[in-house]
Amino acid sequence: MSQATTNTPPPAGFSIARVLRLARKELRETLRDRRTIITLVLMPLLVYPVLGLAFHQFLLSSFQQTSEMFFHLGFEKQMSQDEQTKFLNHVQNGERRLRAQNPALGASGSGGGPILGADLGASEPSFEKIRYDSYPDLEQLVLTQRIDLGIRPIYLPNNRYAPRDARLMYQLIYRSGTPISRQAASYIERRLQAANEVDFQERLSKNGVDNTPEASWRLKPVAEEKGHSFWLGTLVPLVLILMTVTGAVYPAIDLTAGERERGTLESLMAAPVPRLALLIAKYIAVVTVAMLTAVVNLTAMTAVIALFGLGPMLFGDRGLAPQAIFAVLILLVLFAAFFSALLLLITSFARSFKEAQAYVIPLMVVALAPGFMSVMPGWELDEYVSAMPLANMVLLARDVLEGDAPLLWGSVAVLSTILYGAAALALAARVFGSDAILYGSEGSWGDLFRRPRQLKAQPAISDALAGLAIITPLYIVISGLLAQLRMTTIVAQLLAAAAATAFLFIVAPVMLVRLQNVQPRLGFQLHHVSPLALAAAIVLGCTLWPLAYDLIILCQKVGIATFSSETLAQHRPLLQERVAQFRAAPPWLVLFAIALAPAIGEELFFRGYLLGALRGRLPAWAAICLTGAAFGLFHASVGGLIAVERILSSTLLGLVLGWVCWKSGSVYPGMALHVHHNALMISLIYFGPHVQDWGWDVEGQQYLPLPLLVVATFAAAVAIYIMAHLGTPVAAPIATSQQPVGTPPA
Amino acid sequence: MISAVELTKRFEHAGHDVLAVDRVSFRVERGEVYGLLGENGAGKTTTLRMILGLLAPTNGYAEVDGHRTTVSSDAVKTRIGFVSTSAGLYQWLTPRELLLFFADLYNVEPRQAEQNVNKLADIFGLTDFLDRRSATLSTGQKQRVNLARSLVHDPPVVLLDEPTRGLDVLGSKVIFDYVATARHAGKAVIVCTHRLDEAERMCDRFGLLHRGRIMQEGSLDELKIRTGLSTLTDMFLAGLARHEKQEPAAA
Repeated sequence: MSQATTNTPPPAGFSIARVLRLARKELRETLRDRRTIITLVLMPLLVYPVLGLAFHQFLLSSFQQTSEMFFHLGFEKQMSQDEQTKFLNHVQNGERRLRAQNPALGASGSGGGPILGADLGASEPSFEKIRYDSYPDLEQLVLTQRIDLGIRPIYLPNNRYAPRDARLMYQLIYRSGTPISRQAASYIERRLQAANEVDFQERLSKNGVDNTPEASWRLKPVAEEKGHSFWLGTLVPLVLILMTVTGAVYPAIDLTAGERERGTLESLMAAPVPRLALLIAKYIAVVTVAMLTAVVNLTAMTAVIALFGLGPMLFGDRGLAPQAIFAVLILLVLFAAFFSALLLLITSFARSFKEAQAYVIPLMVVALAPGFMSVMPGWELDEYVSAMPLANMVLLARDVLEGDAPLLWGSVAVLSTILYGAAALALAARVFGSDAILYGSEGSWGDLFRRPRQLKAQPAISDALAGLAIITPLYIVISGLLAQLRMTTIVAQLLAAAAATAFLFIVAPVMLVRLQNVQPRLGFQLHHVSPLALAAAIVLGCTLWPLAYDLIILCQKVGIATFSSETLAQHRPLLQERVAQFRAAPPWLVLFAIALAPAIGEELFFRGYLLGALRGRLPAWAAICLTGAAFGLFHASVGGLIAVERILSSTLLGLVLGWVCWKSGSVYPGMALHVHHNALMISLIYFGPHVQDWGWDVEGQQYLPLPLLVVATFAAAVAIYIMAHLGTPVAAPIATSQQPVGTPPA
Repeated sequence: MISAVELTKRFEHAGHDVLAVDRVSFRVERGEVYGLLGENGAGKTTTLRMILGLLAPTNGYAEVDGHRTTVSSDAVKTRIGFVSTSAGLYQWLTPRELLLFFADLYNVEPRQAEQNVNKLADIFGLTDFLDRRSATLSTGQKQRVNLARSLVHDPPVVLLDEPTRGLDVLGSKVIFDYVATARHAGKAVIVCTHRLDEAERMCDRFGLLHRGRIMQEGSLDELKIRTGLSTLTDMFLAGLARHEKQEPAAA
């Protein structure tokens, strides 16, 4: 050992390379543990073949039972008795031919329709066991599963498909989400095809020319089908997600509570490495193991589905498409990232392996509930469920597998999951290795939500993330509820919108600031500013809208738009009706609800609270970009659809507002800018006919006049110049929460 | 090198305010071994953790090499090698991997880290099992790996918390040798223990701690003169009796 010296290496601090090295060590340790290997490799290798076998047996027994059941067919009411008899004769002829070819009728038929059960060797019901009747509104009956298959006659004109006498084409109406309905369609389709073959051969031997089929048909899935029925295929994402979670549980416990139990955590905490770096390294390790688990599980499941031929049974005609497998893998990775963060948060509280298990088991049970609920019929990815953790991922994975994932609510599900994961990780950083957990003297779950004793000047980043994680789902749900108010008066709608905005962006942040013991004036950046700054902000507010408006039009013209001109044309009557409703309301109320309240609330939350939390902790550009992006995403939804062009223009506005707040050190100029910007945009719509008199065809989606744009750009440039040269504001003090109580001045 | 000034720690436990450390002050210079002695629950470990920056003091402060623990936590941690009685090893790593990992945590250059590990393996006799999985090591071997871990970044300050607990005679001897080597290398060392006989062999100066307060402080000779007693055990018991007498009187 050398002579004692103070020339020790400097503390390493936080660096990505170090975090990755730390993560490599955690991974090395975790992957050497055979318990990890068991959950990672052996579990999927055992579980999926067993599940596959069970599914296979279940399906076989169901279809064997099906052979004793009746198919319930429904003929369109207008179909005559003769036509019905003719149809049934075709089916019966086909049946005879098929039976002649294969008495057991076990092999798959020659038709190309959805064949269910035949692949598994299940027998089908005989012709005598078919029930039929006449009904009106076949689609509704199929949809509600009162009949298995609807048969509608379509009278073809005399063309090359119908050179002979009056001819029918049968429309076979089935429900693709219901196995029995798919099976009935397949059953009929194959018999009609067999009947055609018989007929064709007979005619060929007689004439040798006419190859027109005796019976022609077309399959028609119920077009307006809404909602998913329960089927085993919907369980697949749930099983995958739960198995992925299982892979993350052991490493999460081992790397947090396990480390403490072994006595290695204290040595780790004694090292000059930021706690966040240690936590992120552990997080990377847990997520990596979870991702590996997801890959192994998905591979095992795909192999089992292929081996047992379960694809068509579980996922319909398409089977298990490669792109769906890839999309589900992405979702699994996303979910693994979220759940790993949650697990680390939970297990960071634990002081021993056993205690961690005690925390994780209820979490798993709680996680199972929305998971199982989401596979029940009637659960859709909508404004209520898209922000619900786990359920949103299960439903999105199901929709992806079925090839009909909704873009808006799917995006909300993805973004909310990322947000929850980040918030959980930020909270875990508060808990992990803290003295309370390390020594168990004073720590409790209440600490996470306990109001700090020391008054802070700004929220911690973890506090801000938690705030965002609380307000985002509230925003989504409240937006959904507001949409339900369409049937009430416009005044009620506007008042509700204003109240919702006030609650989300003013009341909730104020409550958060109180809970986090942040000085409100500093926490929301409510600092006095010079009249010049306010004036410059107002000028910006009055001049930015033409640029923003033309940007939206430009986006639509160059094709960066969600709404095609057809969609816009389709929604135009609705929009016009909406505008007419607004015009019927008092202008002050419209301005208050849509311009003033959102401007003040959003500035208080996005620039005051969120940007305030990042000030001094992140570079200005990063803080402004992050809050700008969050602001843009909050404005993504327009009438239940994602509008890309709106995200872009709102994000740009968010960047400008963030910059104004950063430069002035206060939310007031941003509020002034935002209010004027909103008010002018709303006024343009409200006073649309008058505005059109000036040559501005706002409703016609046309560019604004060039002189207006030039003037606006010049004025905005002057305002930006003034704002940029106001001088650096007094920087908000960094939160003092890191300082222990009673620390004397250094 | 190390100074504790009016260090105080209060815990809230089951709704009660518990005073774990009460205005403890002392200094430890380079090449000096300071024994923080006291019964279980006297506040030794809490004091050590406050010096290390793992616990925030309720009042007072500690400095290491001029860096205040609450202000420059990382600078303080870089200068300290910490050995705890409860410290474990990563079961699935070998001692070499573990030592290199901790060297990396302390920002030691990889080549220097390799050299330090080989040198420490010689000093602590780790060579035979340097590449064996830690789970397979005996208690004594694990303890030696832990001691090596605390020195892998060659810190000027070493803190030992109950280093001989659970060790046999041979294991304890390794600790004594370790402390002697650290002293010889000019490091400032604090040893927390309730084994007063062992402390007499290891330490240059002592702080006798009872219920969070230092009752007596000084070298063995100074304490002998001050108390008129010959062993630390006698001094501690006498101090305890005096304290017990004062407490009812104060009550």
